Amino acid sequence: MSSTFFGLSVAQSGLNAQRRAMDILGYNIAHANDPTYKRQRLVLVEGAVLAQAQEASVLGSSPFGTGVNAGDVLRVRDALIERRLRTATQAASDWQYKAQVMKQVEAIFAEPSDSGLQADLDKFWASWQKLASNPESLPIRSALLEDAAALCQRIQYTYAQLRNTANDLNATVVDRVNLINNISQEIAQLNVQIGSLEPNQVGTNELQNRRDALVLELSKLVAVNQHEEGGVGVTISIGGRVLVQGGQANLLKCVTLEGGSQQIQWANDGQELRITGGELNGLLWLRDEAIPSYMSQLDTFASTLVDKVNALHRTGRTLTGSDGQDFFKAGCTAANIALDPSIVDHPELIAASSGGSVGDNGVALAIAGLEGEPVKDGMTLNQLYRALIADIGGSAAIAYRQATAHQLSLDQFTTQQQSVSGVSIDEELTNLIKFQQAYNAAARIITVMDEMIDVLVSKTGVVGR
Amino acid sequence: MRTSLTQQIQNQLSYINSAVTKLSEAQTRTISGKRIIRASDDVSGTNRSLSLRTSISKTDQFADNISVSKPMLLTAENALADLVKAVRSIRDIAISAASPDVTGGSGQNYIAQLDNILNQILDLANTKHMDQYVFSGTATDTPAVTLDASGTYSYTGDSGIRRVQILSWVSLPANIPGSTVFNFDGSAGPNTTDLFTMVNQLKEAIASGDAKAVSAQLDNIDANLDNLLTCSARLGSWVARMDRAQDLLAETKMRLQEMISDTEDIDLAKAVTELKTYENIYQAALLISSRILNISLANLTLQ
Repeated sequence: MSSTFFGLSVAQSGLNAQRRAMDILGYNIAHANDPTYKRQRLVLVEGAVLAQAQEASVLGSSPFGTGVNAGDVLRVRDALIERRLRTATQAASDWQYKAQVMKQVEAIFAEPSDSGLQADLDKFWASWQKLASNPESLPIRSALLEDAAALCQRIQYTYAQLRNTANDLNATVVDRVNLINNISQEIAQLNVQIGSLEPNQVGTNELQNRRDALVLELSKLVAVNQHEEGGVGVTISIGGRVLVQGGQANLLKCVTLEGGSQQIQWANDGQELRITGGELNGLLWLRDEAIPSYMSQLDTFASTLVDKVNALHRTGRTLTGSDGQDFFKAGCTAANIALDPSIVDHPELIAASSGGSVGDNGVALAIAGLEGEPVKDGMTLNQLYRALIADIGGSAAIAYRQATAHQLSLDQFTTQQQSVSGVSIDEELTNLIKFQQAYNAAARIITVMDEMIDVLVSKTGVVGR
Repeated sequence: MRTSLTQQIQNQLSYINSAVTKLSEAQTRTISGKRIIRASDDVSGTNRSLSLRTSISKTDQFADNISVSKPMLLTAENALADLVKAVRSIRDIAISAASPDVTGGSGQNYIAQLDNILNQILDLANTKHMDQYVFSGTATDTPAVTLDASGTYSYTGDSGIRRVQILSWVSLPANIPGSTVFNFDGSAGPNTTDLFTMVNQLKEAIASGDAKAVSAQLDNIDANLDNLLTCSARLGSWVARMDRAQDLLAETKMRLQEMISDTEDIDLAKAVTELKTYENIYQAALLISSRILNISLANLTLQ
């Protein structure tokens, strides 16, 4: 038979457990707006069955538990959804980064508009036509030089803008690698801290939430793999190599290659980092593939323009009757395209004439006619430029579409993850009522017990008093 | 499905964000009036619009070419008309002088008239348009015909022809060289002389009082007159073609602008309707968020 006060202690364990549950509920509500927080649940476990009671069962009465204990505090989460969320995150940030930079690239060209490079090019051809109608006129020759100089400046400016964008991206690589190093070191520290604490307690759970958030942050930067999901220590790898294991973080470093390009390597053995997703993937694609391709297309356009115009110009005769020299500085590319220094202040040296007479416009007409002539791979200069714009527009359109699509799937998984792990005020308040009622009931049992003992102490043994 | 507060907030936020993004895109489209703002909005449309712009620029330039070259042709045409008149008077003089009853006195009179006409022809030969000699071929900085100290008229221009582009596929001469007009190159036919030699020969014939010799000059005069009329007709036909091209270019430009507008511009009615729709969606998203996010067990009061 159990003690007279046994019931009291069972009821008291109930009071304690409900109180504890309400504390955690309060903690959940306090974190209701924290997107990295995962709601926690108190596991209530039955108290140990007393040895005495076990003996009692042998004697014919039932065994009896000692009440309820507040057990582990669990984080409510779904590891599979979290893994998918990380995958969606790295794909979305990859494409979002591409979309963001492609928007800048599109802004550099600002086509279609009345003030883009195409407009300058059209003006350049028109100026040659004007000269053809009036080859003797110095003002028209000067205007042609102005228009040609404007075209050169525009090409140079556009090229420089592209190069600046690529340089900015290159500098960003260093920044991102530092960020990865910081995060991986913090994850390693958290691994150690979590390992030293008791698992499934409120404080430990906090640290694990923090670690999950860091891994998610890391997935924004680069595609990572997490092993030992949710365990005490997590192992993180990038491109098949371990980044963090236990308390050990393998650092990355940036090495400046010849030409200034930053290569990301593992600090310990100098192997190149393999990147398959995340912001860095988008960044490297833009830096190493997209923008260099646009720059080289612009180069082809500029050097073809220079070569073709110069070749025709050299066949002509100037206003002074001398042989035509180069119109553009020979051998120029988009980076340094400019008029030939000899012609800059000497409009009379434009070789418009083919025969030598001042009114002859043969060469001016021929250069104006270049506009419609296939000059490179069966394309005219205008078509070369339009192909570049189409290339940029096409890549940008894909990046925008993909960014939107991946954002949708990221939203989907975020919603799912929050659905499992997020705090619902309504649910917590409903539970609050539940715990409050249980608490009230336990208190009532104590009252009843009290009354019973009161009966025993005060109302019994009064016979003969 | 279980719904958490953060999830609810994130969902509401993403609804509001997507509504705002669509609204602002619709606003940009409506305000700018453009369907294509960046190349990526419509890659093939951008390509088309760039190429249409080039076509418009070319159309403008061809119209400009015509407006520069046509006055030059008209100047030459006027000069040719005067030349024809002059040669006709020469012919009249030749016919009068060829009659047998020409007295010595009237012969001198004819010669004086011819001298006048010769000077007039020389002036016409060196007609200028905006400082350029119209009949010097492409050597527009030198007079077409010069008279040296020995009294010889010689052609000092060249036979170059300056062509101007008036349509993508058409270029026309903008001049007619004096060597052809004044028959220095024998374009009037065999046994003909240039206009100046012709007058001088006529003068000599009249001076010699040889009526036969005078009438012998008539063939030469007729051939030269024909030559001038041919030149004049050619100039006239070029001017007419330029006029037609000008009309065509104006029409083409209008059509091209329409095509650019079709490619780039929005349908305003559609854009405004869209704008209104997105505005409503945005308002609805805000309204719903403000309602839903306020409701919870915590602040539910029984009426």
